[in-house]
Amino acid sequence: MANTIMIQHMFKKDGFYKAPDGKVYKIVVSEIWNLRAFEIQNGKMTGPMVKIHPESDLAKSLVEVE
Amino acid sequence: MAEKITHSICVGGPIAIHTVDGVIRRIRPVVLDNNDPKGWTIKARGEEFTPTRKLQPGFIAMTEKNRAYSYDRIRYPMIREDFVETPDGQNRNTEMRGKSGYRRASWDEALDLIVREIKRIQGMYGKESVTAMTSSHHSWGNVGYKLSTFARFFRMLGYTEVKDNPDSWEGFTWGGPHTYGYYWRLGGTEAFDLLEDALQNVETMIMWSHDPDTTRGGYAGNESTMWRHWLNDLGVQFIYIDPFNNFSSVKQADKWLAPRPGTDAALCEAIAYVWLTEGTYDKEYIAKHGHRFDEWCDFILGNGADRLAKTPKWCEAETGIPAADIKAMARRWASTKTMGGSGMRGGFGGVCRTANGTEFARTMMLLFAMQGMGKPGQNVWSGSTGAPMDYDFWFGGYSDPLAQIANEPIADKTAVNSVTQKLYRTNLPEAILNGHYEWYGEGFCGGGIDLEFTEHIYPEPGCSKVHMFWRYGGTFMGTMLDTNKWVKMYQSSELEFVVNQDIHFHGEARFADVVLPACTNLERYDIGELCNSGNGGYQSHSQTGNSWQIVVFQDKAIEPLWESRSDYWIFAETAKRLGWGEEFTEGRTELDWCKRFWEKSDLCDRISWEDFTKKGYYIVPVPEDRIRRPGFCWFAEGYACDTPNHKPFQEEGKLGTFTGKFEFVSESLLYWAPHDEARTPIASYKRSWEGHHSIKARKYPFHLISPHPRFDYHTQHNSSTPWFWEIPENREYINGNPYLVARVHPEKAAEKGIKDGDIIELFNERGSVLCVARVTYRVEVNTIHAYGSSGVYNPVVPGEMSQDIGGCVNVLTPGRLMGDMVPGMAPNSTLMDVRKHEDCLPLGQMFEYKLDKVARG
Amino acid sequence: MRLGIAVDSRMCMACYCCFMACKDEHCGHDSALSAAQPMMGQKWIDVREWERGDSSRRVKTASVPTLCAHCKDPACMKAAKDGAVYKREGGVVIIDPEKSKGQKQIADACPIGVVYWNEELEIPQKCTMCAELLEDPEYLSYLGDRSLVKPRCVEACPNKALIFGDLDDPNSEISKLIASEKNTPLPGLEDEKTLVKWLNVPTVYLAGTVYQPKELDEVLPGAVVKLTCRETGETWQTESNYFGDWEVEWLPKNKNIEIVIEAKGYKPVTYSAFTDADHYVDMTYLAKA
Repeated sequence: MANTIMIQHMFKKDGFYKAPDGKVYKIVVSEIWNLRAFEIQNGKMTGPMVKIHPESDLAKSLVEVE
Repeated sequence: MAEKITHSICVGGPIAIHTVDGVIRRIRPVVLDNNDPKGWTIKARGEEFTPTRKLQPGFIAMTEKNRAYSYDRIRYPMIREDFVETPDGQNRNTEMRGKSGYRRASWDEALDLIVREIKRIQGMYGKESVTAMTSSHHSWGNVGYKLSTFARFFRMLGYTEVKDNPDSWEGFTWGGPHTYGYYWRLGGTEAFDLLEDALQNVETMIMWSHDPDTTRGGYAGNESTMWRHWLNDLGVQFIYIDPFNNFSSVKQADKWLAPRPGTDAALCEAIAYVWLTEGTYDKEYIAKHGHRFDEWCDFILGNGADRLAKTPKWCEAETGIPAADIKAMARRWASTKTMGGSGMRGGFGGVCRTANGTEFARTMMLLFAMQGMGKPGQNVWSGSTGAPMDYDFWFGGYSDPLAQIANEPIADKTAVNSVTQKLYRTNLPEAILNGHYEWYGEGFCGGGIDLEFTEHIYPEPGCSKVHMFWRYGGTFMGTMLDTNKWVKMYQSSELEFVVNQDIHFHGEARFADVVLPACTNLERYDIGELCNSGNGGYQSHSQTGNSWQIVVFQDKAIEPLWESRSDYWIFAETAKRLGWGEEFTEGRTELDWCKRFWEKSDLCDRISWEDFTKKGYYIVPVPEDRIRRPGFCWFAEGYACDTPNHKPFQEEGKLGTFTGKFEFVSESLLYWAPHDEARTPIASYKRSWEGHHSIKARKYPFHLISPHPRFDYHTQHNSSTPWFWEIPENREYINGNPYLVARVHPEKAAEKGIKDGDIIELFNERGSVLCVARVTYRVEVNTIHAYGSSGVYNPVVPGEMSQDIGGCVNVLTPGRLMGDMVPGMAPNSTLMDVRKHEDCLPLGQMFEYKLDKVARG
Repeated sequence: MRLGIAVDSRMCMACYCCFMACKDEHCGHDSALSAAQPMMGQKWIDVREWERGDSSRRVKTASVPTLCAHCKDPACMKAAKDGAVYKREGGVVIIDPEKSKGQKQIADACPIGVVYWNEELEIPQKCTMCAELLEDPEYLSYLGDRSLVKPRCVEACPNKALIFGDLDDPNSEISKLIASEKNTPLPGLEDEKTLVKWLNVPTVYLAGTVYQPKELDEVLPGAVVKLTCRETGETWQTESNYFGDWEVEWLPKNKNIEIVIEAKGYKPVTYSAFTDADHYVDMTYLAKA
């Protein structure tokens, strides 16, 4: 049952991350089962809650930004 | 007459509302139809368990119609008759608060007055001179909740926030983290998938200060009662430990042990003594997961500083439980797979609200550690949480910042309070009356152990005292401490202006200058999930206390009654008059806000807005191939934590203490509070500052315990729903007044000449309450049991600190906090005496007094 | 088809959901079959409770939701004039709110006290088994399944203490429950056929605890406890458990019972008890043989 390192915790809750397409996400939930973000536009959370699968390409491609 | 069916969630659970011609006809449970998903199944011991296809609200939810149309609804805005709007805020007859009647006012008059006063007071003294405070769970729903609409208004206004104390789980917030971490769950543990574990493995359940059928999972109604029937039928042994043979115990207990109130930590120590001397604890587990265990052993065995062995015989003298029974209990626990805990989430219960609450919480946790907490069938789990659920579905609960209209992303712009000054709820009256108060901690302190030790002073340097108080939601007369001091506070001229916004004209509302009528959540739109107190927040995933996970569109069943209005309307109107109405609403109606919660959660992936609002609810299915990750198992087995709501350090298999282990000697207390005598580095039983060893016990020999109420929710129902008074275990209606039942042991009743059904006076130096006696073997012999949270507050002399006939036993409780550095309340450490009431009964003035002729209109 | 309700006292937690649902339905609302129940004072389903035991060493409560039994040969009907009480097809007993005016004897006739006298309207009133709802095709039509329609008290029960169904169908849940559980008709209804059946309403228990000699502070599990009723010749046997506790439930009422407690290596102890009510016999400290 033991898990290896959980990718969720490579993300800081309330941290900002950039995807290759230039979109910036704010991580709002960082738990097992739930890695969630909102896209940030003009400093605001916009659009629907984005569910990021921890093993997805999107998760692997995100880079932390200030 | 076509019936309209809508749905809502109340503090008693979800309901279906039948409305005919704009009038509520009936309130029913939500019965699932054939289109709703299948329930989960658990296979255990050759049987299959699955929930009934119906939501199981508590009886209080069945009375929501009655409560909405109640005789004591606040019907119109009202202004105190002898209130004078003086330009300097002085000479306003504040000493008449609680005594004077009211005159009916229009909304314009009331709100204009409020706005003038806000401007005057904030202009004269600064923004911080306004304070406002809510009760908890005024009504259910993510829009209307206090952290949503109320918080949005007051943060935008700028105000002195009143920090809540962790009123229901004090000992666990202030104790648990120093022993086993979990500060982010406020000292409570995690119960993921433990219902299945229990059904499959458990042999003994320890229900310590726990009455699940009464506390109903917090807000889960009767969703979990069948689980305990299942366990019973599987032959699982239930041991209840409580000075009151409570309503679950009396039906279900195989054994009831009744310690003298507040001595439970001594019982913990004696159990440990038995295990240590007989070698019946999990040595391997402790070697791996325990920190400074040997020092603790020395302390228990009599080789510590106090040189006192914590033997069962010693414990018998403290608790009143025979030593033989203590040994038998310890052996049963050690020799069978045992789960248990205190209160509905393992970390609640009346004991944690005693002077010794932190020490009980800590020693109880250590006992579970000694038996390998986290192994199959061995855990802190108290039979009212831990059902299977879909953890991969996210909908916000009330404590989620993501699910509040005060914040992004629900709002376009987060509301931020510009005032840093704070007050602390338990001691608000002292702060106002003395103009000075100091305390430690940040209220709930979920953000870290260090938050327990922050230092606060009121007024903050450079800040003004508060002069305006806006009170919102249910009365505190029956829930806070030594509550006569609230009367004193209200009558002080320090408070130049007092507003009360509530649904019903309950005890505290009568002390306001302006009373604003809020409507129930049946009269407005809202949205919410049953028993979701916040995913990611404290008590995360509390929906596992339900058999069904359900998100409800809380449709407006009827228009607001009389001239009541929704809280949102009231705050939006006030904001408009203050000149920032548009910023407050962001142009949204309440229904628009509801839709935002759908839009900004997983709900929008599961069901369209149209289907959701038409059907009224969404049942979240539990995947058939769900993965089981039992709570705390990761720690016992030593792998990275794989349960939701965890912290990064748990991935290394560590707890949230300094050492990451169970701390038998607490390093965090050695660091922050090494000299604190109430909460010592070695968790240990201590004589209560108000207990049977106190000098005071010579005069007031009885312990009063006032647990969370069975026949109410906070203070919200008893006053407004006379049907409750027909429940013999709740109240008895005598001479126009519903007297609260107080329970007395037959032995003591005989000594005092008290018969069942007599009117008796409960009294001490703080006050006096008339109750009706129930003479019963269900209480420990030195204990008087009367439920706390009386919504009925009925002082014989209105507006005075006089005898109460409403059953507000909180007037008897001590205002003292657990310790100098432990700002928790301890209402279950109350000494008092009791006598038969021989004088003639006071008139039942409550009903004439409460509803003055204007309000009746 | 005879629709009825089984009341399983064993499962009742006295949560008062049935009580409130009944009030919610009938207080202040006339129905096709009844006048409105007054807001206070009547309990068409009354959760009757009593405390069991005479010591804090062992105490329980019994809870018996008590509503109109819908008798086959109702005493209230016999007492009624002008056909003020009648039985519907299926056996539900109804009091006509108009014809019964002034007939207090109808209320007084009920052997279990669940017909109430309405002072204001001067009529006797009681449970209708929600027959007016069960036969209303509009009621709960939104659920799309008539089998989900139940009397309000039954629907509100979270504990399976109230079960509704067809008494004539041996395969119905209610019939199976009645067949498998102890049938305990209420006093006064022993000889009556009723649509409401009470199950598992307790009689009397005797209990105690067995200890080793007092100075040892130890319980004594495994002691054999034998109970004998000379009058009926019945015997019961049990053992003390891990707490030294023993208990025998379902004893006949108002009998003299002789109790012998034996354990190997100890002197036996005897007691006699009378089952007028539930008793905790003693904390028995056995002496070494």
